Amino acid sequence: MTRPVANHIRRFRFERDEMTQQELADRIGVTRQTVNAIEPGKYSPSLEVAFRITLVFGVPLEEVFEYTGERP
Amino acid sequence: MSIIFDIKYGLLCTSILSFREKSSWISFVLILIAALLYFGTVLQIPLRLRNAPVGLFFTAALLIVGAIGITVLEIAAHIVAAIAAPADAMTPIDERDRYVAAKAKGFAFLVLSAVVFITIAGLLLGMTSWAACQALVLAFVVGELVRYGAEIVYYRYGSLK
Repeated sequence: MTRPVANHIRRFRFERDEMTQQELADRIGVTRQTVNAIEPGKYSPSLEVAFRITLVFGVPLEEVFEYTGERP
Repeated sequence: MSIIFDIKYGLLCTSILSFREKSSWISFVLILIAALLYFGTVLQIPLRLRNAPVGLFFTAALLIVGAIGITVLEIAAHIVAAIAAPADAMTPIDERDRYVAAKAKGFAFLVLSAVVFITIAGLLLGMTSWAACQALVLAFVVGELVRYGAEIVYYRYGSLK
């Protein structure tokens, strides 16, 4: 099941000199498999990890993550 | 190397199993094999001997040997998995590992509780102590299989749905 939170992590990694999943994982304090699960939407990260990801890329949260579910 | 192939977005890509997922697979397979061997053996005990001292002693001995055997095999298999990918095995658990473990334990608890309540009902309706013992072993086995099975599904697909 794909969760209602999409993200552009793969694109941002590509734009940051093709940063590897392992490199991003090391910088945000999770395993490579977790980054691998976050990218296609298999796992929604905690707010803390989401903010860490945006700090690595140096962009606001809404540029990396996007809510695609129903409007509350 | 453990590799699982996924067809995704029309592309064939590979994803290497993490140590945690390998651990879940090891436990799932070993428990399944041990349970099949155990129940395949105890059900061979003739009905008249099942509640006799000899039958109960044999069942208890089988349980103890099975528990020791599966513990040794689990340790050995995890050592082999850790040697095959030492860096992965040394990686500390993260929030996703904790999430997967919590979800899987929740499902396992439901299954374990259900089988235990059925066993209690069976005891009240006259189930023998030998049969109750087997039902409780079954509850533990099914609970563990659900736990590790759910972990595998969550690691693979992110959800049970």
